Amino acid sequence: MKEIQIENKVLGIKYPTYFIADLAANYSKTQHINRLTQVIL
Amino acid sequence: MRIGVTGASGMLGTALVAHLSKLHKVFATSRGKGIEGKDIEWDCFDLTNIQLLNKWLDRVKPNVVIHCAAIVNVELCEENFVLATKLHVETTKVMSNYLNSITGRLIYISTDSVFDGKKNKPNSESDLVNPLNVYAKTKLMGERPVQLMTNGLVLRTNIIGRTQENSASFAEWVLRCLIDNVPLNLFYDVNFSPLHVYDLSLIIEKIINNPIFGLYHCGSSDSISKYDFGKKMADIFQLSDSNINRVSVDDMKFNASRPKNMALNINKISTALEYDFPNAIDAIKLIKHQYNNKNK
Repeated sequence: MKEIQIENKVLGIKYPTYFIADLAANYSKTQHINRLTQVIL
Repeated sequence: MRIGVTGASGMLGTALVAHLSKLHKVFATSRGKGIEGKDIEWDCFDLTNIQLLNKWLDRVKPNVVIHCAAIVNVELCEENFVLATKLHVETTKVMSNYLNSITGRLIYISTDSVFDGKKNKPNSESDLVNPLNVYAKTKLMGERPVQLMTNGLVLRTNIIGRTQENSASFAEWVLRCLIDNVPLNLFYDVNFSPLHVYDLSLIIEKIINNPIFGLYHCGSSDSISKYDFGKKMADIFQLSDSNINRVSVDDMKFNASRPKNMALNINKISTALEYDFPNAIDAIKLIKHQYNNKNK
């Protein structure tokens, strides 16, 4: 998952967040999201 | 009144401190300092350090504590049950015991995630809970000591707004994708009742002046799907919505079923406070208002 810069905030591998399912619907082919979906979803 | 706010530099905490400090003395605590002001006193410490928490309570002697501190990072909760339990359950027990002893009040911010989302109607306070992850399970466990208090209030909510710390909210992420015009897959079959943190601050102020106790759901007056939320955001921010794709959460092939209906029935709190709650579109309009003000 490419990190997304939102002003001074970052979404990405080092910054997991609460809307994992929504992110997974958009970045499902990345290793990080795949791991998250295994662990959490 | 002396009001304690935990998680005071977070999205809701910041809104609460800004609003309540206009009328009350606010004692804010968080890992790092947030907004400052004449009637805001900061104490930055690790809330899970019970000794420091007790010391803070003893010194502050709050009439009301609003317990917003939470680990919203679901991955961290999943990997660290002990830490999630310490923050969501243990600190709540300490605060409820202390506030009971001085007839103080505790307002505990909980979550719509305590439900599994399988119901067809908006979730009511009397509905059975079934949390699906460690975040939701520990938040639910934290509700218990508050409900045993004489002066305890649990508010289950789903908030949106602009974050202050180095993280981003669902609304900020959607907006970034709309601005960058990158493909955005949003669920048409996942519904929620988002309430803007500013509106929740107004409601909490109302509760401080007109106390209610027990368990209440506190969301927008209606519900909206994630897909419609994105479409409305595009509309209100006057951005193209051509990049938004309508997808089903069922197509995601997750290991466990995902909650679909996170909508909250707010009849109980709306009646108790005699207050007309804003709807989901009002919440998006407030985000737009925040952006307009910031860019002036």
